Amino acid sequence: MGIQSREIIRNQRLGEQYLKIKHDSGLNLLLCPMPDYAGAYALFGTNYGSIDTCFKTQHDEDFVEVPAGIAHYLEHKLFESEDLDAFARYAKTGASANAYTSFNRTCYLFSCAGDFSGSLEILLDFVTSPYFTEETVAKEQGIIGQEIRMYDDDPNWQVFFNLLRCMYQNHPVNIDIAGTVESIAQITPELLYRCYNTFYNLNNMVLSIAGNFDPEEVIRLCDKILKPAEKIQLESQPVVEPEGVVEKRCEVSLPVSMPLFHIGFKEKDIDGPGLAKDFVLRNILLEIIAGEASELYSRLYDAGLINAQFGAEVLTMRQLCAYVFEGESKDPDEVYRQLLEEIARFKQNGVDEASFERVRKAVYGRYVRSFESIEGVASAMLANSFDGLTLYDLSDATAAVTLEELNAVLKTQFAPERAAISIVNPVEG
Amino acid sequence: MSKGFTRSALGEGIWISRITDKRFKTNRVSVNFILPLAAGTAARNAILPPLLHKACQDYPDFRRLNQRLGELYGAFLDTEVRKVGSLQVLNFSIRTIDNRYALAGEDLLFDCAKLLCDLIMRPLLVDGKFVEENFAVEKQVLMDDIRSKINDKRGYAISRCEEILFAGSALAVDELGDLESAQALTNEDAVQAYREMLRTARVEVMVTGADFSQAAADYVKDSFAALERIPFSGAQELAAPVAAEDTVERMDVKQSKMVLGFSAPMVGEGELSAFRMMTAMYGGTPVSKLFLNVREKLSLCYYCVSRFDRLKGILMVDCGVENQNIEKAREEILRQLADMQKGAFTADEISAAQLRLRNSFTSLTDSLGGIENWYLTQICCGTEFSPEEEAEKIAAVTPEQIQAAAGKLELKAVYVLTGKEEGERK
Repeated sequence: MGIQSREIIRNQRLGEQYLKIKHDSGLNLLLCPMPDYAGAYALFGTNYGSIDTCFKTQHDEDFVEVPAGIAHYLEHKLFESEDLDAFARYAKTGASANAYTSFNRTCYLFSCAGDFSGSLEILLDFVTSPYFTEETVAKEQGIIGQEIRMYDDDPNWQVFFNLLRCMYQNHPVNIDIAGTVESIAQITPELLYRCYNTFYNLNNMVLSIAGNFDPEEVIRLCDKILKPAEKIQLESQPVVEPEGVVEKRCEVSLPVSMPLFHIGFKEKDIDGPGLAKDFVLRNILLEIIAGEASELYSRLYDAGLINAQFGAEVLTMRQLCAYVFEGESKDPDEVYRQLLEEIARFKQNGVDEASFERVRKAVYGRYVRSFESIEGVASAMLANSFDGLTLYDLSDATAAVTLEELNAVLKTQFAPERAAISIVNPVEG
Repeated sequence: MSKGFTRSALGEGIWISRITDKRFKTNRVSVNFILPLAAGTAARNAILPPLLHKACQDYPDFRRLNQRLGELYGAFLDTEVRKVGSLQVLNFSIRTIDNRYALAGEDLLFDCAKLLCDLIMRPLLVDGKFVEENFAVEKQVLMDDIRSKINDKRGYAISRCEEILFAGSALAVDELGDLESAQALTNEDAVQAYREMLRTARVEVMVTGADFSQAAADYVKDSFAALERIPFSGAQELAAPVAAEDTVERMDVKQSKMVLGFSAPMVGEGELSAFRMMTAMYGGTPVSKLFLNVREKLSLCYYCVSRFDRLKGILMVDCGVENQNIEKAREEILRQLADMQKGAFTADEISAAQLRLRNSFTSLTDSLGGIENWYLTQICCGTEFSPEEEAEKIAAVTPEQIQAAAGKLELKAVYVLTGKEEGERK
């Protein structure tokens, strides 16, 4: 085996570059050697997460629906094999290993400052060698059950998922990533193999590495360990999601000291060639409306309505785009009211040139800062590549967007009728 | 000390440390005021970083200050209150991209150092007091922050166990102080605390990143030059953890949190590596005894870990567990410790912990935060070792030393946070 293509992705402005390689096995490699660093950070990820609950390939007649939480369960189980589990193997190289499952990704990672080849060999091998039996699958119920219980007691997690359930009727983002104690009880080895064989096809995966390593060694290990994967045609059951929200508000009580809130705006999803620009424009908008340098932030803070926990983000994934504002407040409804008012004011008057330039500079600086760490580079290469972008597309788009584009986007966003609020109140008494 | 690390005096009890390394793309300047942690002063010191973070004479409100940060390419200005053993560390830091990435040739490192210094040294005072509105808001925020510690159940349980172990000593004091003290704070108290901080704190300035600017260092030096100083030595107060009855507290939670607090008396620097090895093997890694047995074999927990605190002389084990499994988990945690104490561990377990610790020491030099934290901790501990030197020492630890370290652990307190009993749940 060898490689099908090799491309150097360069960025003039930053004086940075990395390698993009298509391996004969089908795997996509993104390699950024940073030889001055002591360690290396590797991520082996698949374009698969908790929202992939209903899917088929060219070999299936019908869509299959799988239990909630199975992507996360699969992540846990992949660490096991017939003899030594992955952690026991990493113990011989000293690498620090982990994995995570999000709405749309599952990633296995390690960081090491020693035996890079040995660690990478383990990573490539265990992720491509599933081993599930009735017994090992059953054993995990207790552990993941406790992980779910831990999140049940996490008020920040609860307030976020309650918001998603308010906003989305059919989109599987409304299901907790780890599932529920009931849903994971339905998971079987057969279902795990079915998900594995569908989504862990190497053509659907990326190996992203940054730090102190030799790219030729990576290719050599891929040649040695990986087997060619057949081209797969993956199809997810399209989500039919109404434009509006399900509920305008959700309130629950938990042991917290002060109410927590999440406010969301449901938007049309962004995708396709304009993705980088669309994403950057939305981030700049959030910063202008509610960032620390905004009028709204100062007003709310000085009135004692928010604290330093206040923040906002753009949430994007397949068939979904939303804005989420979050924080703690003695009066979340007043924050909500003032936020809507501020947005209406911006929509009427537009954003001025000075604010735009200042925030653009700040957002650009943030991207440059993220290229400093090996984790930052490897994570961004992987995330961007699943979105069809290079590492530098977002910082380039930040330098290129215009005020006119920003004001045009602003007009189409933040409809109050597609907004919802989720609140966690303190338990009384 | 590491290659590239230098530390020199900048004034009476004021030090500047630098690590300059071209591979970084940013520069970070931080100023740390180190004070003794005490129940009477913790809250009034803790209000200073957020209060000074709000405004200064040149940028008299938060909005204008943040607009300035935007101009400095989104410079990240942060303040933090930390507890390091019996010390309270008030941290002010700023970080932005290196001058070589500035689009218009700005001297960002100097501008950032100046802004940080001005925030600390040129606060906005009206009639000798902080702006009343700013003080009132930050006092409320401080009280809210102290109250909100219960939101994070795991962290809350750990700090409750610490309070029990060190009842009455400085080591039991929370870095933010207690609610009553925060409630009683006046603007005058804050001003007095500010003046005392400038007069008595040991000051550690750290400049880390791609570049070093003598002009920036001189600006910092000049800012502090006029101060009258009677600095605190920075010495750690030591206290032995006390034995306590088991404590059970109830809250409306679904999962119980259990924390076991052990005394871990370390005699001298020489034992540190042995304690680190013992902690890693007992419950510090995914191949440790606690992970393999409490989690993997018995499926009782998602997390069950041990951590060692050299300054407090304790080791804590904490886990999240179903209420009916608390006893089972406790038994297993103690059984695994007994194995450590008997020396029932293999050469593979030793080498796994060695490799893992070496990996983490070496990796931390790849980030500015990691480097700064390491050296600041060294300074607070009164030691001066580089991560590389610590890694060397780890390799020399013998099985007997590990067993001896485990043998010194003594269970002093067990804290359990659990759900309300039937009928109590709202």
